[in-house]
Amino acid sequence: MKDLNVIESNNNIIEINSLTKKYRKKIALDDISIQIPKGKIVGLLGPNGSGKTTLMKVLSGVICNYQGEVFINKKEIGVETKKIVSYLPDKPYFAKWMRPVDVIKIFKDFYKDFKEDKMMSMLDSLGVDTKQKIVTMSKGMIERLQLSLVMSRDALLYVLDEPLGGVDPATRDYILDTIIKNYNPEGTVLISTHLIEDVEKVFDSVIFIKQGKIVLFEEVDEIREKYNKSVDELFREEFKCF
Amino acid sequence: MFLKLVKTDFKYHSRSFFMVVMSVLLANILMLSSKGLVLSLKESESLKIVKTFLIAIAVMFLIIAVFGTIVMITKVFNNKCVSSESYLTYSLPVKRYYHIWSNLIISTVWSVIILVLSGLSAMLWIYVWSGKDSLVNWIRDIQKMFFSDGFSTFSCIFTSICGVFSGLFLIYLCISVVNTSVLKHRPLMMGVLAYIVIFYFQNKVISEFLKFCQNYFDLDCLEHTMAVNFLISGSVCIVFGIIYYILLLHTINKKLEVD
Repeated sequence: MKDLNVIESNNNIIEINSLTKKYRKKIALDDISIQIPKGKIVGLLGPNGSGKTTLMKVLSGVICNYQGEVFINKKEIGVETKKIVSYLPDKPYFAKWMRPVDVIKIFKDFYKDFKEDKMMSMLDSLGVDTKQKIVTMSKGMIERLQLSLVMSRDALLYVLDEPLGGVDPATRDYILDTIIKNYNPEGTVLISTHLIEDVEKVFDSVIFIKQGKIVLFEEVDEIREKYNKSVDELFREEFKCF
Repeated sequence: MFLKLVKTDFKYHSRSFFMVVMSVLLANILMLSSKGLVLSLKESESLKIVKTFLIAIAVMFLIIAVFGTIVMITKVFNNKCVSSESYLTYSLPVKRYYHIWSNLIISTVWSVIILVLSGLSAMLWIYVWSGKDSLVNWIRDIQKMFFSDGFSTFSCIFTSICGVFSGLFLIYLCISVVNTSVLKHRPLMMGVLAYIVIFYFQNKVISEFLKFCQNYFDLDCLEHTMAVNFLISGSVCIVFGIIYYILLLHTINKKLEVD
């Protein structure tokens, strides 16, 4: 299982070569190389502190002090890649004074691929008042709002960091449904999560990351065929605590 | 894109600075109220106490406004560029240095607005308590000291702008540096400490440089001596500002660790 099975394709949305990221002496990403093709829903799976969030921060351009090469759609991380990457961090990024209408304005101003009508219909289904202060909303509502913003873009790459973390099962279903219904079919979705059982049905392929190294990258169907196990079972086996 | 960023940031800043402007207005209302009380009521011991109290509160509000401006500038940059809000900031498709310049422009505008409002308040208070003649004399003194001729006016404005720019770059640099992985423990304390140390060093360099330059200038009047000193201080501020900016850019691009 340790043999890295890289899905080779000339049609890659993400190409990473020898990426290393350190926080002081701690190595968060350890010389990883991977190519992820376009048009897939990919699960980024690993225990806490394995480097999932760091990898997502690198892809979104939030952190840029790393070694190695990272390309998105053949471009180095920068302004051009940010135009095509829609990033959902694992925490809210709204200022205290903001209302949904303020963030919508920012997205409308900065992202050409932002679809306001899509956003408004998502907010309608959520029952969110666009003039309500975000700080007064519940945690689940804030997460759904942030997800709606991210999924209202016709991006080529969606980077979703723990979109299902800390929400009840009903909200989890809503979030998954929102992702499936709204992502750009030509784009790629990279989702990090611990709740594999709930989401493995939507993954085309999965990446297992452990102590900053990629230990597996395979298509979900191949995993089932090769190991005769579900992704969840394989994950539990690989990351078993002794 | 830069203009859109400035527009967005202006909206962000205006909310934070609203309280500062309100503080200046409140100071003026209190000052006028105290004068109103003096005019409408008979002189008494209790009136004196109330008047003194109102003036003290008004002065306090004005001081709060001036320091509040610095606090707000720090807070806005900290929130936008190093806190969780920076996830939104840095995922916007703009170059990182745009954020620095956008914040710098708006902070400068707000600093100037608060300075002008404070200056006008000071004039109003002198007029209210000491009369028109005192105000005219005060304005004349200020004009003589800083704006007696074109050279003095230029050096005064030049130094103010250079001082504000280098000061803001220094604030941004301190905030950024304490949010790198090396210095990320107790960022507030480290930031304030870094600011005090660097600011002290900058002032020391300016004063030493002024002493050195005095050997080469033999000016006959006080106004021109001051103007030349201003010009020299402003020039040294430019050098420091450039150094701060280069370090800030390097920190933001290469060293900053967003939580």
